[in-house]
Amino acid sequence: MLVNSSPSINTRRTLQIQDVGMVFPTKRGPFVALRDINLEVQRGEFVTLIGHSGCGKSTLLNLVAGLTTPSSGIMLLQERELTGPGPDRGVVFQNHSLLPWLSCLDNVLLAVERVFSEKEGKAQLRERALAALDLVGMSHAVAKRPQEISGGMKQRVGIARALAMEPKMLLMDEPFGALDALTRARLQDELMRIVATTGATVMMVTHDVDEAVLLSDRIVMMTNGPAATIGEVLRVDLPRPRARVALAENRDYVQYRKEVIDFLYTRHSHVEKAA
Amino acid sequence: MDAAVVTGKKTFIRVVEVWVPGNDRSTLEFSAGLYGSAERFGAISRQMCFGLGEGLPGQAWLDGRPIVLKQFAGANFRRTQAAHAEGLTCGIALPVFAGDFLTAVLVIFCGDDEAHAGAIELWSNDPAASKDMTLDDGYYGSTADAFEFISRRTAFRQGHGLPGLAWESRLPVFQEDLGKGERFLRADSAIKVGINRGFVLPCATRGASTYVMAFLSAMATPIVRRFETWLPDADGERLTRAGGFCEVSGTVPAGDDRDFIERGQGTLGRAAFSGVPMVGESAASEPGLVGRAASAAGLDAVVAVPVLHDGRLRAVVAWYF
Repeated sequence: MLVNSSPSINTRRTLQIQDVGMVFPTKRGPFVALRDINLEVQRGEFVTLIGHSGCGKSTLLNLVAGLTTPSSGIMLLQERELTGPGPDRGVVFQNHSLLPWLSCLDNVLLAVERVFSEKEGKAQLRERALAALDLVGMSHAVAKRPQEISGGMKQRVGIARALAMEPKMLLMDEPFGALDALTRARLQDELMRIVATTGATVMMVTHDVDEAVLLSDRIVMMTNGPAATIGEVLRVDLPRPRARVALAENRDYVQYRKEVIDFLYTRHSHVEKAA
Repeated sequence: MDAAVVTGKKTFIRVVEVWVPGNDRSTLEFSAGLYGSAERFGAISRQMCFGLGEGLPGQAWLDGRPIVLKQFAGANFRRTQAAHAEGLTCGIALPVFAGDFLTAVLVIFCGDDEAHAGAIELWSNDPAASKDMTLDDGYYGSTADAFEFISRRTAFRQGHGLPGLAWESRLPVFQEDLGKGERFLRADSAIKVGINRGFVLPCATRGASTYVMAFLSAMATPIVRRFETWLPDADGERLTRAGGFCEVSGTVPAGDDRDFIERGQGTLGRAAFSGVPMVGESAASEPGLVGRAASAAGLDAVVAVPVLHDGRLRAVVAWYF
């Protein structure tokens, strides 16, 4: 009997990371930052990477962003190998990275032009940029420059810039880490609304356990470095939309939160202990 | 002695039986069993045999993987009335494959009365589908559902957590106090429901998927009264004790190299020789260290389970009752 051995294509699979490792050359010899990283992210999924400082979660995000090249392994975005940065991945950093001499609109427009200028006219490009700013609630500040708006607003513009490119994946490196608690909470709620509206696939790095549980479909917990890897993956089956106030008393939410805290502070406290 | 050590308590596992292929390998026949107080169930079982796909042992044989059967009625189970009469509510079938060929099916029965705290979980990984080991099925007795809830949503990577460690090493893995260690990744939930010891057994299945069975034991009802892991030497001729835990005397240390069991000697040696789980009804009369330890701890019977990988013996696990 003949068996069809052709691999089936999973149309829901957006990102595949296969056996990825990252080694940095140092004066003292090679430093293994990441090893044996294997992960798949499905279309529309919100995945957070959590772990202690130095566990390589930002390194992993940078690899997916194409900002660095893995020492080993392969990464595929919708079945195509990642070989460098590209507009198919929108990146939002903790530092908003907006150009200070451009208005909010022009900052977003810059990204939009890069992706769509060959196919669309100026008016359409402007419309796209305005729509993205509207999506993040920044229509009122399109003409303002970054120094004229708050940290939270800058981050909204950063998200608008990333989303305006209609990326296959949104990559966020502690996007709310530098914000005060109230602004962070508001932006988390905004992000959930935006993701629900756009159906975006998101990979986000965070240190914040509550943020991870609130936002994620899956929480990828990383072991301590050096030679960090994925230790455990927790699926968060909380219904959406998620309301933070109601969740605070939700038994399942509390359970998820405890599991992540236990992983980080009991089993993988910052100084790695032998398993 | 560990303050948590208990004596003479009811074990989570109530019945153990071993089914082996008959001479023409068309049916599974009764080989051995430990029935404790479920003697009527034992009397019925001894008369039975199962074809491929028949009943719990036959289904495990057909599927080539372990099965956790939490409800007998309406399932492919032929002894429902007798099991219920003895208070048995869950059956677990562990087929033992040496490569493609079945050597035996080990069947375990548990109950779910109030005192039946603990859990048995089946974890699996399909390498074609994922790098994660996820919960296939589980039996939680009267254990609170908080633990089951988190188990069903947790995925382990190779080398992480007790299931991941057993997967990586292909050897049994034990942790004496789940609350204190870093290896057990669901410690917080486990402590809340009284689970304090974990023992994970890699399963010798057919096919590419990996299965490990986790036995999580509560202080009130230990999974078994004592268990030990024995490892073969390089030639596979001798077994030496690697360690274990006894509910009577606490941590069981590694045995002296000179205190070995030869292949074919006693219940453990016969399991190592044949690749078939064996039952010794009088643990105290077993040869060497097994008999001495059983006498000292007042243990009644021993079950020896061979741990195979790719048809080779990796270890023998001894369960004492």
